[in-house]
Amino acid sequence: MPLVLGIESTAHTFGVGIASEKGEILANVNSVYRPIAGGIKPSEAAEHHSRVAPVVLRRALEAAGVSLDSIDAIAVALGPGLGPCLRVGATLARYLASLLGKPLVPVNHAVAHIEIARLSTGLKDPVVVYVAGGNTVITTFVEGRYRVFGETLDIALGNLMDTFAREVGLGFPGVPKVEELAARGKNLIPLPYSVKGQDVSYSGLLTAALRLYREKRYSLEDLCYSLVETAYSMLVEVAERALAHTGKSEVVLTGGVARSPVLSDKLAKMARARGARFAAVDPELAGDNGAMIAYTGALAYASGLTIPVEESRVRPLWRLDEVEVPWRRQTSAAIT
Amino acid sequence: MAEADVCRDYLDLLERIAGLEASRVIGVGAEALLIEGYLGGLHVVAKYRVPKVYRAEQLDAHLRRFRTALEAKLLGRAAAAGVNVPHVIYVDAEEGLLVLTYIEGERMKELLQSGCEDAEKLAGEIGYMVGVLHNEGIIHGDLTTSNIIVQGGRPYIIDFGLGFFSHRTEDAGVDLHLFKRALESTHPSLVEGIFSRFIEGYRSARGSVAEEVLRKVEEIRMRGRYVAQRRRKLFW
Repeated sequence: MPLVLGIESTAHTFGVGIASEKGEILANVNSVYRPIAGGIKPSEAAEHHSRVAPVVLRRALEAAGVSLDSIDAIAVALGPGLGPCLRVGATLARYLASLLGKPLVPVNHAVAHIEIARLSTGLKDPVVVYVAGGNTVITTFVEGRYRVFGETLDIALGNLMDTFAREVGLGFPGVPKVEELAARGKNLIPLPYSVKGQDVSYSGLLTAALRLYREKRYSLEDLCYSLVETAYSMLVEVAERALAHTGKSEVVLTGGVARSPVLSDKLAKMARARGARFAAVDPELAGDNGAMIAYTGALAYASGLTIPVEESRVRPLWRLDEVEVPWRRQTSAAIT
Repeated sequence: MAEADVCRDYLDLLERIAGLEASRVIGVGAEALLIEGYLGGLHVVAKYRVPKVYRAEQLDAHLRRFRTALEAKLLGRAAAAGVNVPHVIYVDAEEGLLVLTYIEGERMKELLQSGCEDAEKLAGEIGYMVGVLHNEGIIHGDLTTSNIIVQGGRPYIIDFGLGFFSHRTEDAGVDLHLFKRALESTHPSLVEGIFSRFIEGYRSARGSVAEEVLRKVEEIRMRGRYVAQRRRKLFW
């Protein structure tokens, strides 16, 4: 059974995972950079990653109980993400691949979130709702790739919630704190509900919510409740459009915001009303992590996807729908 | 499946609200249920925006009311401008219900696929109608050959569910761009002939403004609105 070591460093998390193509996860060690104040500073996050990299790597090998020699390939998330952060992971991956003479496997971070969710939930061919600090995408597999059916036109859902929480003094991470207050809110305040065809737009919602907060006309509980209701309903609506359009019968939630019980509940209700199945990724694997890169790298490696070290430039703007997904073609052929 | 039961519940409801005699469920979309039937002897299609259990009741009620009323206004304004669209027979925005005249005929999509002699003439008429809509500040939002029905040799534009009012050149440009994209994906071999006649008709309705919109269409295409422009915004 070939083992792949995967490295994640696209944003605030530096992680190393070890996994096989069959979905055995032998190690998943992660270290998250926390800014003292404000949002992520790419250069500081990159410094954090370089500092913790050797320790995280060693702990992952210890957890898996394997030596570097028994690893068959090195996978790395080359994008999308923050350039300085990506370079830390890529540098370590190139070094290990060169040192050990093992193949290097390029992994798209978004594809990894999808694959780990399919593994974790057992759903075969779902409409995927991928929500995190930097991403909000509705996607599903069509003809060899994950096609984007809808996405945010400006900021991501996680970014909306984190920024709001920070500005009103709730701290990081934003989603659980805002949801906690939202549970005590009762009155729905009208906020911009911006669904444009298949896409959503969150920046106007953030501006409006912050303006209302500063005007102090409403309780923070009611404001959080209205923000959560509006932002999540927009997302579920476009997910439902994708489900109706593609005729698929499964919905999966993945990414850092997948830990939200409120969002899960809304998606589950939508899916039930349409006779579809719903599941969210295991909370342990929801945020950025090394295991998802290792597992997706193992799938790619089994399909013969490798990259020469000299071509392994980082790809900060690497779009999900540019990535060929050859292992899905094989699985769907095997099923039919 | 449970869906059939759900549909029956809705049909009962529609009969209660509007006195509609339903004969057939045409489709279950993401947002609405489409039902063919009769209302006071008139052949109609009812579009029922289904309440969504995942949304807070107040938000759900607002969205269904707002969207149903907007769609009715768009259709009313379009009809008054002389564009061939279904006529609004009955609106109950509170219930999310819109009843329209049933347009009998074949969809432009199937007509083109089966090889239609009048295709280019029809394209000219459609272009003219879209031009009139844009003159009125009506953006359709989902112009595809599935949303054009040919009845007795005349094209009708249907489904204003994604429509809105705007006089911006950008919005008109996106409308035309989406129509061209739809032609390219569904009828690749016919694009040139159909789209040039469509533009001819559009020009005759809009006059000199048309050139501005067409420049915008080219700009939207060149900047790769659906790839390059967004990718800068999506990831950080």
